[in-house]
Amino acid sequence: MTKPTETTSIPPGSEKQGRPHPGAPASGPPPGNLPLFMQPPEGFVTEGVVGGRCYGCHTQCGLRAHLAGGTVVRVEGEPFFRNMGALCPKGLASVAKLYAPDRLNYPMKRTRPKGEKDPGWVRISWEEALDTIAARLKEIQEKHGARAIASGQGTGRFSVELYARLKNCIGSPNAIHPGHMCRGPMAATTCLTVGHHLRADFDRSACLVFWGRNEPWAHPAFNGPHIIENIMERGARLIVVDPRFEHPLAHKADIFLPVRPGSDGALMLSWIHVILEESLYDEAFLKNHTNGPFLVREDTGDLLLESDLGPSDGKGAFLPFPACIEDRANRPVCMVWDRITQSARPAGAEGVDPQLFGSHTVNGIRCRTALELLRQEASKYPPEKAAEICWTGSAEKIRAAARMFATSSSACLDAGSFGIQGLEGGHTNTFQLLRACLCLDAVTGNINRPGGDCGLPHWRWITGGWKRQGGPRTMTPWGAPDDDLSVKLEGPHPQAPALGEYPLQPGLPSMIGCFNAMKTGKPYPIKAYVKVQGNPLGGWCEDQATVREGLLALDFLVDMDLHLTPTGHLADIVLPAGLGPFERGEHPIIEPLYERWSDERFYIELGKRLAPQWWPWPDEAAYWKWRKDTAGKECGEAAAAGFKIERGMPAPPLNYFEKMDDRTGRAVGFPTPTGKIEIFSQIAHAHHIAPIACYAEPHQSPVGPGDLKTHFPLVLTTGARLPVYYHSEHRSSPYQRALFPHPQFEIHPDTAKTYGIEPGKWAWIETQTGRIRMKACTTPGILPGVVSMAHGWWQGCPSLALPGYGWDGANANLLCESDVHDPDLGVPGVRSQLCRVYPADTEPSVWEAPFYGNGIPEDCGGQQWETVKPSSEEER
Amino acid sequence: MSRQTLIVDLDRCIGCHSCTVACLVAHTAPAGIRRIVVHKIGPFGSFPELAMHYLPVMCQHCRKPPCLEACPTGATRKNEDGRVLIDPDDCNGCGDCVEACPFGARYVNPERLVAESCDYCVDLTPEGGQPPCAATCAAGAIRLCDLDEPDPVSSRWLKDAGESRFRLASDGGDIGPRSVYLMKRQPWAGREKISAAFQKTGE
Repeated sequence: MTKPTETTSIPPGSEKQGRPHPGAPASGPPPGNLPLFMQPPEGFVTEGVVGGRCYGCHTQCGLRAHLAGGTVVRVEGEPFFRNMGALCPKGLASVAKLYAPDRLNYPMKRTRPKGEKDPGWVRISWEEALDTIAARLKEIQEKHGARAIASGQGTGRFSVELYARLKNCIGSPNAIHPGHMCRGPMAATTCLTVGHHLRADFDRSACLVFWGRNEPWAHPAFNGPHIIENIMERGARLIVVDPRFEHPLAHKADIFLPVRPGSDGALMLSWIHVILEESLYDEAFLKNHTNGPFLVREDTGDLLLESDLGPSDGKGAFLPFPACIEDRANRPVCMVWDRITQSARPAGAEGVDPQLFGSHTVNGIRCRTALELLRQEASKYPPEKAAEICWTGSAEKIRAAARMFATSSSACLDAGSFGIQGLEGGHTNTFQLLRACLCLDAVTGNINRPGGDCGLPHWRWITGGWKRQGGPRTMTPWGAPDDDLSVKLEGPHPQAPALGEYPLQPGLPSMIGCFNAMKTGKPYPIKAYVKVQGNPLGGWCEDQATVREGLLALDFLVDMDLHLTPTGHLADIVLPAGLGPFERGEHPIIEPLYERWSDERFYIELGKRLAPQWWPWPDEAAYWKWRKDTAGKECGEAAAAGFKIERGMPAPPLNYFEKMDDRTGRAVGFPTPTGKIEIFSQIAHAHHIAPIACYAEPHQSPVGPGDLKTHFPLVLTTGARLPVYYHSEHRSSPYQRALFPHPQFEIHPDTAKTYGIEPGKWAWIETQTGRIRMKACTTPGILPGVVSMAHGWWQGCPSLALPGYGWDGANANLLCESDVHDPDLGVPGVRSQLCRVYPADTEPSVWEAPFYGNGIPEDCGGQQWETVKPSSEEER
Repeated sequence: MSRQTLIVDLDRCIGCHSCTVACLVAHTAPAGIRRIVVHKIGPFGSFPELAMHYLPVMCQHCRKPPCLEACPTGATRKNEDGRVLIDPDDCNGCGDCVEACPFGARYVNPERLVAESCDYCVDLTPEGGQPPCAATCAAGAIRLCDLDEPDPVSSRWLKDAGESRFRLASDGGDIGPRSVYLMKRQPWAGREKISAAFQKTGE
């Protein structure tokens, strides 16, 4: 099946507008329909409405803050931004968080040894804190080298460039953050396959697929309005592939396809099988824009090159990375099987009509096309078999879903996961799973098509390690190398490799390897860790016992955060962070309360003490101006290159890959080694990794080898999203905690009965790595045999008298093993492990070292949040 | 004469609780109480053939309000536009109305010691605009509308819903709850069971 080849940006006005969002004020738009945050007032105002961008999660919706007497009294969504007046509980309740009594307000240092229950916090000045930090870091650098100092973050709102700059300016390659189980894997795989990032065009797609991805709860206000508008007003079809029917879109879906966590790769290959067998693929797209028809040698497994068949003009083999991408003029010529002449001819040569499938012998060399290899791999998973492997139940439903996906005029899988949350972050077979996902997009022609997964081609290779290997640099949409924006923003990338990095994720250290290095000094010691807003102990890292031992063994730990976290409890110095957008950002809404600082101000002041040449800004305002000039220029160039702005967000120029390159006389194609979307991944092949998408059971599998499954018969998936929390954040906010008060795991009633679990009662969940207690939530809306839970229950909510459970009480990451990761990307198996459950007689231990702020709440002039018990303890 | 009411499109609602929190923030209400409660109805059936939906419930401004009958001081009144309001000066905080409400839509504010419930935020809503719960709704599922003079969008919603318009059902006879719930898109078996929580609107 061939779709229309029109791939240009859709013309203005053709996007069918749904009804105006109710958030749009009836009194008419402000001048130019600009969001209020683009019209900041001069200095601080005390009355009226001021705009800002929400810091409740990663997406940064627009918000409006109502001020009275210098106090923020309430916030609402910005009508003239992507969130269209909507705002989710995380943003709405941020006003309570601004004035919450349990915030950190002053810098403090510990006076008792680590590990003691009371650290003996003593308030210090920022000056003393910064001087101490700089002195200790210099001392450690002299003694152990720069690599012994790590910097890091959690979800990095939005000082990501600066934590990288801090480690870069002293020459350390090690940044410790959750990138290995978050966006990193998706970023790397998408860049390998397509050459740049992708994001789903939820707004226009004719078929929305949510595969293991709870977007409406992860980012309700940012994408929710557009998803619902598309389904309800434009009739987009909806497929939900998830182990949970409790997914907020599953009950609205045209097809709900259950899947066992970790077996997703087999199901994707099954979809590909159906699409190829039933000829539902986009033939023109595959021929023109993918390397699917390229011939692959059976003897060596390499792509067949023109030079294999006789003398050629010196373009003998693929150049080393990154020249293989950037040096288009010296790319080797790959061969395809021409249907017209029935012979091997150079890909892209005049009049060639490449054969998509089949085996051919060229000069005695047996070859198959890359698509033929994919077809053979996919044919191992016919729907009947996939239904069995993936616990999907119905083969017919798999066929129906694959057909719906392939026959819709456009469809998106969010394969690039621009919005971050998805499948990528937690299987030991992640790389090939993501490759299958991207191939699914490629065979249906849904890459860079309106309504498909669309790219921002100048956002490339974000992980520093790829740059260290010589590039590739940020490119213009035409593919011409440009100055590297990220080097400007992040400083010089160190030449040394990060600790224990994985082959396709260079620049990103093995996170658990870093904590091990703190603990054991091997392969080399990490002695200091400067962390701004992130909580590895209780928040994000696998194998929490090792994390704790590592943090305890550190010579020096600095923790800057909104609250005192279990990580902060082990710190030498804790620093109070400002809450955006009220106390930080380019235009803070109010002056920071107490001695809270913005992340940026801290980094700049510390950086000046360490390597002043890389921190040239006299103050934060100068930094913001520079930041705007530097990045703003790039955006301006992008706009000139055809990017248009839709509701405050840049829309990609979809057809950039069809532009002609003056030097080669051919279309520029995709920034990959073959210039095409890579069904056969040349970079993976060069790393001796399977170049064609395939499936292997996750390391802990209920059908795999070994006897683990007899002791741990259930499949555990952690990291479920709740609409009011963002990872481990917001549990102390009463408005949010009242809605989801207790750590819970979901389990099917039949499964619960088998193991004696009663609804609403505490139960143990145990893996071979550890065990925790959570309350059982029995629901028929989850695949029998699967246990699902949210993470991040460390924090208490004093005003509701609800406890926090610290790092060892109800922490899902205690269950996650660290012995086996995805071999290519270093992803831990947090979303697909094996567990068992049994009733618990007692509740989990409550965090015994709580710290409820060091301010005097009356001072701050804000709304007082009363201590009231919930009127009825309502279970979700 | 106007008949203000909230229309809730359950096909849109994604259960994100934004309405609840927007309401709490707008009223600087003490934590732990709610004027809008988002219930999860279901899932019913057996995996994976299931049905469920979310159901935001707020004061229904009933035609024959049990809270009004239960109020010993006359603080609960029905005003000319049909809204059931509470005069805090007359309320003694006895909580009888809270007991009487079949929908759990009232509570006694522990700070002010008076009963409170949703009043459609008339004071906080700009002319022709929407109250905070509706304005913040990520799914655009809630609309305040005058049933006698519905705005174009609301009329279209009501027309498109056709037979799929519901009101809450209560055990206490026909007390005439006012919020209109729309629910058309339930492809799964079990819809009948879900609908049991409702009565068809006669309008």
